[in-house]
Amino acid sequence: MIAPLPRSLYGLGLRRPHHEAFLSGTVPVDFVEVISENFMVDGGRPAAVLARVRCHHDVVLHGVSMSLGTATGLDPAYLARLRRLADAIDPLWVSDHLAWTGIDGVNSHDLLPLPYTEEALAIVCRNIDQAQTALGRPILVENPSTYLDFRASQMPEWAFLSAMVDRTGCALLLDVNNIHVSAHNHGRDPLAWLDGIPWAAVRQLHLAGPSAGADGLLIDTHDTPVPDPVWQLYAEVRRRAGAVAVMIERDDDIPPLATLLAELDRARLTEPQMAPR
Amino acid sequence: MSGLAEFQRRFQAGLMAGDLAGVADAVIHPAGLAVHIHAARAVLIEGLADNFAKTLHWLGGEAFAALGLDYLAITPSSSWTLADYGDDFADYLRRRLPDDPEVAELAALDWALRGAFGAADPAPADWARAPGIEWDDLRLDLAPGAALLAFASNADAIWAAIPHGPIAPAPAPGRVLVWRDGQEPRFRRPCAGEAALLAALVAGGRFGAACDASGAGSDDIGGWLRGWLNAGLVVPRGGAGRRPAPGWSGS
Repeated sequence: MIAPLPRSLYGLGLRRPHHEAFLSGTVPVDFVEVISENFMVDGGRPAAVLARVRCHHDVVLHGVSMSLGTATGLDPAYLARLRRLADAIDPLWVSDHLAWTGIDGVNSHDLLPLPYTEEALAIVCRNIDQAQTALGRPILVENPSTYLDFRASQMPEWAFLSAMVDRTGCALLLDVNNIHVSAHNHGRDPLAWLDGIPWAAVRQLHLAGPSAGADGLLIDTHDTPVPDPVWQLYAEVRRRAGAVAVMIERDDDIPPLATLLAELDRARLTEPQMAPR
Repeated sequence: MSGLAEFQRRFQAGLMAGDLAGVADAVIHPAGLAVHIHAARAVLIEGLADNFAKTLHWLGGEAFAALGLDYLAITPSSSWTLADYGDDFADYLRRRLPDDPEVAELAALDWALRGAFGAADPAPADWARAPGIEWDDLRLDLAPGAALLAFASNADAIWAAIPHGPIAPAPAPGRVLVWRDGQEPRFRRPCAGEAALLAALVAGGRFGAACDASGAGSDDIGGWLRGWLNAGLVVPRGGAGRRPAPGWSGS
């Protein structure tokens, strides 16, 4: 398990419109999260940018293609390439999602949902073991936004995550927006979800905003400001969590950096309300 | 649900076909299936649009999306990154639009520049200063990320003019050389002699024989070679000339 943080950290995702600002080393953040796959390259500007950003900030590697839920196992070439990147930049940690993106060599580039069954749990745990062995470090796994509820599921998502942590020693990245989106889409109580989470394993939080989709669904677009329901849920999360790395995860319709820093300041203000653990 | 692997294969096949009705009985509210149908297509179209930005501009969004949707229906992504998606999109456009060669050539140029963007950094051409090099017998190749494209049209001029000034497509047979200068991908159209010599070398010819066959003078060849070496454009066949990604330094 990744050691507990001595204090909470506050960061932003590294997005192209803000590269120059981050390269200057003047952005007031504790860490920067990058999409791992964007930097799993041989050279050129992406590698140079990340090397320079790393001179100023701690970095978190957040992946979207590990496909931890693929029933036939993980791609060793992907893991080897990610290991090279991780060894090169010495990140705070490496993370990916509780999802699958493809099977038999295909990548849909969509985070596809899993049925929460004992079989899927065994597969995910086996895959996390494979990843942690290949990467030489424990990983963080993020709860997904889901739009499907499988008839075959045998346990709630929080129970799946909890068992996964127990069996693999991985840590959790809680995306508060995803908790909100999934609870809304499935008509569930997000606070009941929080009650089932193994908080000692939580190391990072994502804050983001969804969009309204068809059929009353919320979609995990990450292209809007953090909305009030997510802020309210975030306050509940902070009451339960220990020291965590908090970040605003904006993926599209990227606003000026000052706007994201203002949201991050609002996230910081929640910290004094934390109950002692 | 009979086995997660079997289910994932059915789900993936439906996703690629744009029809997940075959797995609707596995979920409580099938409305969510449409989210994944939409997302899987949208993300690949966005990937193509990012990788082929000038081609998109030339075709217009509607035509590009229509061609892109047809392409992705027969071309799943097999890479961990969308930056790799579309490696044969230019060939696809050539087959679909045989009377408009500039479209496929714009796509080929977009793709080559994309490849140069993240390619291994060129190494200093120290190998060329080593004593005792048998230049006549030497076989050279393009450095990682460099490409020599054969064009029938003026697609390179069209690419450079987008988005400011439209240029009419016209026949302009020749070759276009793509490489990276520092961190910036570049391209230029070499003169016929330089292009022919480079093409012969890329095809595997020995340096001496390729020079003889080109009919070019030694002054010209010397000038071209100096340019290639200064730009890190050519490397000896067999792997020299590539250096690892730059060293990373932590805070």
